[in-house]
Amino acid sequence: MRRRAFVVRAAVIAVLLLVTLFPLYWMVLNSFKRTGEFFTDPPTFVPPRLDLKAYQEALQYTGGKGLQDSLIVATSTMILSVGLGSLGAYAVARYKWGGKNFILLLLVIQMLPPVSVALPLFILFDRLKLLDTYQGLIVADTVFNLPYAIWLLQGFFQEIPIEVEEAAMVDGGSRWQVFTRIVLPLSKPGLVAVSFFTFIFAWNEFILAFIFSRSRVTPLTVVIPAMVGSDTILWERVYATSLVAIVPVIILSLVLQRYLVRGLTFGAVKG
Amino acid sequence: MAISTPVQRPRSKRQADRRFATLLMSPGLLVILLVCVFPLAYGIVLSFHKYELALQVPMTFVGLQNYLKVLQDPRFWNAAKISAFMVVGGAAVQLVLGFGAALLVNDSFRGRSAIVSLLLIPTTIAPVVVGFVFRMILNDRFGPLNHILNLLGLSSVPWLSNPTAAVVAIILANGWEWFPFVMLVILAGLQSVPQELTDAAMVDGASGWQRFWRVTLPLLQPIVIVVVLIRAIEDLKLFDIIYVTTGGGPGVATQTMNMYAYQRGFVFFSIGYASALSYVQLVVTLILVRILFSRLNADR
Repeated sequence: MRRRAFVVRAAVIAVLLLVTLFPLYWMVLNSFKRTGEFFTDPPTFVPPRLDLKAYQEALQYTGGKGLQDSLIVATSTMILSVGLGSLGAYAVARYKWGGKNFILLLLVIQMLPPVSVALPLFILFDRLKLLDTYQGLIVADTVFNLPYAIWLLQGFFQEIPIEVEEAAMVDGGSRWQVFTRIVLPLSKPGLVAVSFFTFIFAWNEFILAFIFSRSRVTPLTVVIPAMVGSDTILWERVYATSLVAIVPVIILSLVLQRYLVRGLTFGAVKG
Repeated sequence: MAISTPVQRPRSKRQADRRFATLLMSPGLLVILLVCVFPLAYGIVLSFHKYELALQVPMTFVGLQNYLKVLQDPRFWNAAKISAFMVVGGAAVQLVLGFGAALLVNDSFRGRSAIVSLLLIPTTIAPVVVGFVFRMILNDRFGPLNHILNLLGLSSVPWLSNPTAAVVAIILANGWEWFPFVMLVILAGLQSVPQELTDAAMVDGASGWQRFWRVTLPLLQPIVIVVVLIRAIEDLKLFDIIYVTTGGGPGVATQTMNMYAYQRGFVFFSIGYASALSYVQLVVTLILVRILFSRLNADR
């Protein structure tokens, strides 16, 4: 009886893993196919060849610029969100700035539909000549990240015993010194988690990038759909570029698994 | 931005505390005010105007006309209906898959953490990419899914060309990406169910099935409601996957409220009307957020 339950469970887990991983396999597989091999009946389940041609071409053409822009936008958004977020989070965590309603307001901002902000922002950016610029996209991404950064970080800051900070104050440290020399170093896990999350958010973000970009600032999420607009679609390049866009994030999330779990479940689960 | 330490001695410690906290908060607050609160306020203004950006005519004040037009617009009601399907269907799919997965990996066994790691991969992938891979997997004639269905003796499903199937297809693609999130939250909930309670039920002769339905599930109810609400709020914003797989089609079969507002705003450039549409969606979101908050407060 025990044994049967074990076998059933193992089988169900295997099916679940298969369903989860199959789309990834399909992408890798398709990056090895060439025109004429994508839409066949029956579909080809085994790579016809193993080469990196599609990847080389992807990076040579729009994918290279896409990778560069994704890195610039995601890194800058991360730095801004974590920088401004940790300042704000400390004000909320230790000094109860704005009270409980302020935190709720931040969460509301996080949950707003992007279109309702993007539309007026588009008009404003148009007038300020911020469309299709790094600054415009970075600041737009930051505003959708900052509430989350503040919220998550204040949770980490609150875990630091207040006595530690008070002792440092008694020893003559200013508030600013207590924050930079005691609180921030003690909150490294929180800072890593929030950096990781804000980076991924900006890296994967599509609608803002799509609306605010034209030709100069084109992150990967904008580059990939643009490849499908033309008459002859080079599907191998679409999937090679897609893999360039997702593999770094997958590796990061496997390395930083514990932060991923905490960041994802924060809010739904206490702490 | 330099933050100076206060030079002159403040009247009280509390006052200095407050000033320091405000100083810390101000850069972030400035960004939020300028890039979110101000645009939102401007959006309300726009929604009271007729403003056709493509026509090069100045905007004219029309009061509540745009909102009245929204309420009489059959395309809007169609979009609202599709959004409701996506949100409810999506929540159901993600909850069933996520709950099932959580139960499977709840006990500790060898390889458990590796399996959880692998299951979490979809949540980290850009939705645009998810859309593209599902577009090919779900291809009506040449996709692997229909091929597998045929091998199992089932007939092909016109995933992306049939109006109903297209809604299901998007729910599935989005569900693939987000069921692991539900799994994580439910898993955290399962871990917090006191072992004594299930043990006591076992002593009283309850079967595994009864223990689950009568003990575990009622204890998990609050967290299930919270996770469903979070997913509903997120799925109401769903854009990337729809844009890439069906573009709102076939026809308008997968055009959600979000897609419709986008189309009116950024394809037809009817800025005023699109603003009104996006504000209606915003109100729906706020209602859901309001329910979520009251649930969260009830728990704590």
